[in-house]
Amino acid sequence: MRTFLKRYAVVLLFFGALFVLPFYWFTPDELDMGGDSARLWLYSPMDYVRSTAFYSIDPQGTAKITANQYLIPHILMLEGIRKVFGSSFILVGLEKGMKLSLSFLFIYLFVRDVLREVSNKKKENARIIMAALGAGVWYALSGSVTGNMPYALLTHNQVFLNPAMMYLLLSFLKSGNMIFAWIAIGVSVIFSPNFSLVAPPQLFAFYPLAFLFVFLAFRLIFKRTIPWKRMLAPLFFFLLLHAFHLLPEIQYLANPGSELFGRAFGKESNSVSYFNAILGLGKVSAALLQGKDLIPLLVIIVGLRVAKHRRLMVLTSVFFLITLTLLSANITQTVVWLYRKLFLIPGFGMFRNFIGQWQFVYTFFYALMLGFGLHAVFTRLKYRTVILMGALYFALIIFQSWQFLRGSVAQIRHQGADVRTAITMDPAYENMLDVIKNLPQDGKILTLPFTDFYFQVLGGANGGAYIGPSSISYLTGRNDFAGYQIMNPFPEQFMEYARTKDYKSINKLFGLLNIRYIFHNSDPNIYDTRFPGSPYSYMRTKLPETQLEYSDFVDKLGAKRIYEVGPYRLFENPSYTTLFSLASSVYLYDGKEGDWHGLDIDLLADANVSLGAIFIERNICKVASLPISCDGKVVSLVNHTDVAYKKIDPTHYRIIVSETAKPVFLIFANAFNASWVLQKAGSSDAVAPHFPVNGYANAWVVEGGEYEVKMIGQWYADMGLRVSIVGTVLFFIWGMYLVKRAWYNNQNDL
Amino acid sequence: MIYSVKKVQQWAAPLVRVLRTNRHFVLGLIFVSILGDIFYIPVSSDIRFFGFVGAYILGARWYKLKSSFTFSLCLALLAIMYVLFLTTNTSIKTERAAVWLVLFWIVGIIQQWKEIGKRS
Repeated sequence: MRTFLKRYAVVLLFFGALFVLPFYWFTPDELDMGGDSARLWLYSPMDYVRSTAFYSIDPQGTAKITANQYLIPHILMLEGIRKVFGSSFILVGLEKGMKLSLSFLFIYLFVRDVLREVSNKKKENARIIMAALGAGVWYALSGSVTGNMPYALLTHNQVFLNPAMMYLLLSFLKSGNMIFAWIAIGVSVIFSPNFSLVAPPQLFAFYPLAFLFVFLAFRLIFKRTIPWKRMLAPLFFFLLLHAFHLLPEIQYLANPGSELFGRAFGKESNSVSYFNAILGLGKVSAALLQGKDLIPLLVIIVGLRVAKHRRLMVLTSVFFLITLTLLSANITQTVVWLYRKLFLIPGFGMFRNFIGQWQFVYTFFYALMLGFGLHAVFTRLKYRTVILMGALYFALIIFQSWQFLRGSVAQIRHQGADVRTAITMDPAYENMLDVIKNLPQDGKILTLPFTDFYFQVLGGANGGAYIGPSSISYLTGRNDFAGYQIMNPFPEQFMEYARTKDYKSINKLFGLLNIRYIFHNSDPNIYDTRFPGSPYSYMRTKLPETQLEYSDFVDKLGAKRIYEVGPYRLFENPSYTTLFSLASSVYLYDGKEGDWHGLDIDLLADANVSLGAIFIERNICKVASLPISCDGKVVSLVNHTDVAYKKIDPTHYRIIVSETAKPVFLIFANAFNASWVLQKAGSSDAVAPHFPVNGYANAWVVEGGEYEVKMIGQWYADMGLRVSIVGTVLFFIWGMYLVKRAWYNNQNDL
Repeated sequence: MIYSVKKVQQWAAPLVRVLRTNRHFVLGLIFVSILGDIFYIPVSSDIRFFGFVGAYILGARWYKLKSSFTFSLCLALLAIMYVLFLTTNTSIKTERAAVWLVLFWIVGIIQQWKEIGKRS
């Protein structure tokens, strides 16, 4: 043990310092939540995973179909850690500490092991260690690791997972020991968000290039054969263990209506337009200098000039230059032209935001080039000079990163407002969340003040603020409309009715969207005083301009206040339409399919339109051969039928439609998707036609009887979960076998 | 046609001889042209990029230049790029210098690859 500590003292020192530092950045009650990814898993991982991942339904707004099962193991692990330590604070420190320390450690190990393969291990060991340390520290404090830390997405864990996986692959190839493959697969399951098809660019930007690099290095530089057959078992277990998210994701990907399908296989012209729009942001010089740092690039080029292990430098350079080209694009017009042609490849559209997507693989190869370059330079110098230069180099890196190391991440302010992003949850709001959790199951929520995007703004007890996806949606599982993008296809109508104070039409709109509750956060700090601009700029043009006006607005809507704590007020809208309802009349309109948004006709403002009226596009009426006349404007449906339903889970409902003389229109106020099927009780046949109404919702023509509504995508999720559970058992048996075999081998060696 | 090619070869022979014997002048001319492209020409041109790189490759073959020479050139371009980056940030000039650096880096890598092949 003492020898180990002595041998690895410097590495352990760096590792420990990088791991511990982030725990001193925030006070124990602060959380750095917010941003596109919400990061509400830091506050309550269990609530987050329950709302978002167990079922293939988006917890926001109109409950679109999605596939978030990849979150399950990772968030459950976070919940386990939170339970053990009894605080979310530990998760904040752990998340950042792991990124810094592990990214350092695995780059260090990778560079060290590669250099040991190509150099004289005994003679050059000190220089190898120095070079690997240099690369590791540079990588851990590089912009990819530190710059993306505020508001980091879960996939940002790639900063340490990428080098970790490459190190494990290299160790597996070198030793042939399956234990390394076993560890790699286990790690990949715990960090499954990084191996999900929902976030494919991260996966496909890094692994193909990095694997190819390791394989080529192994074959061409180390002159060893690659054990292809031995890789089959790890690959099999990888697929088995990841089936719980891969199966629903593949089903989701194959669904042409899904967001993922559009992102992966969207029109090439859209991708090229996006690429062209941001092309000017690709800067070769900025990518090469990584900030304003000359030393690493200088070391790399000098290293290329003086290197003894030239094959390694050439091979790494090739990958470095490829990733530099993919990251910066602007290396001659010919390269830009070729880059555009790449978008003809199906799926390449996912890299249209090329700067963000290639940044991490580029930084990885940059760190390798730096490590190999440092070693090349060090081998030309005397040992004392190496120590001196190394010390100066580390001092320089630490000096450059001083602000970050002191915790600048914890002091970040929201854009355009002098408000910290780190937030202490307000106990009054926590109380309100409990109340919302226990509301009757039917009915969605509208959050006010309404924002420009899909964000909710929430003031913290420490003066900070959370700006991110609705905490109501993600922590209570209740579908919440918090901003413009979530209210699609009606945000413009909502704004216009608010401007003209047409409260009747607003209530009809709420009826269409199944909005039963209104949550008004009347805290002036989140609207009047500290956020005069973003994220309300556009909403302020038509919606109330102050909290006082918002209070008046809510009162005029006629909603009944049902709970109030601190500045948080909850109202119930007495007239709303339930999640499953029957149409009282049908309004036909002409328009592009699914494009309510672009309509000039203002249907809801028509005084004759009552609650329970539905809107169908004329084309859909004709194509689906609905049992009404598709030529007129209004069809009145006189019926005395009732509908009752029971929610089994968010993807499964039981419905009873009372006996009726004529077929009726059954409306399901969740976002339309062909994955929703209606089946008559006892029958496995789907009721047809299934068609969109109200610009977003599902509808079927039914007769009296008992029915079930199911989301067929959930079947894939359930099946995938079963496969993964069986796979996990087999995986552990395999692990035990590997350990036992290693133990036997050790005994025989002794 | 054959006649005309021969004639061109005959006509170019003295020029090639002069160029082959004046290594410093040719390489200096290429480098000065690159500096001119970075500092004085406002519009990027692939013809210039690939033209000068092609001329350098030709020069490298004639004068049997090694990759270390090309990487020395890269160091000079790095120095220029860095100064431009500090003074003008990611301006057109800085970007142009960066592109030249990358192009010569590629040339250096190809040369080094060939050197490894020859040695082995």
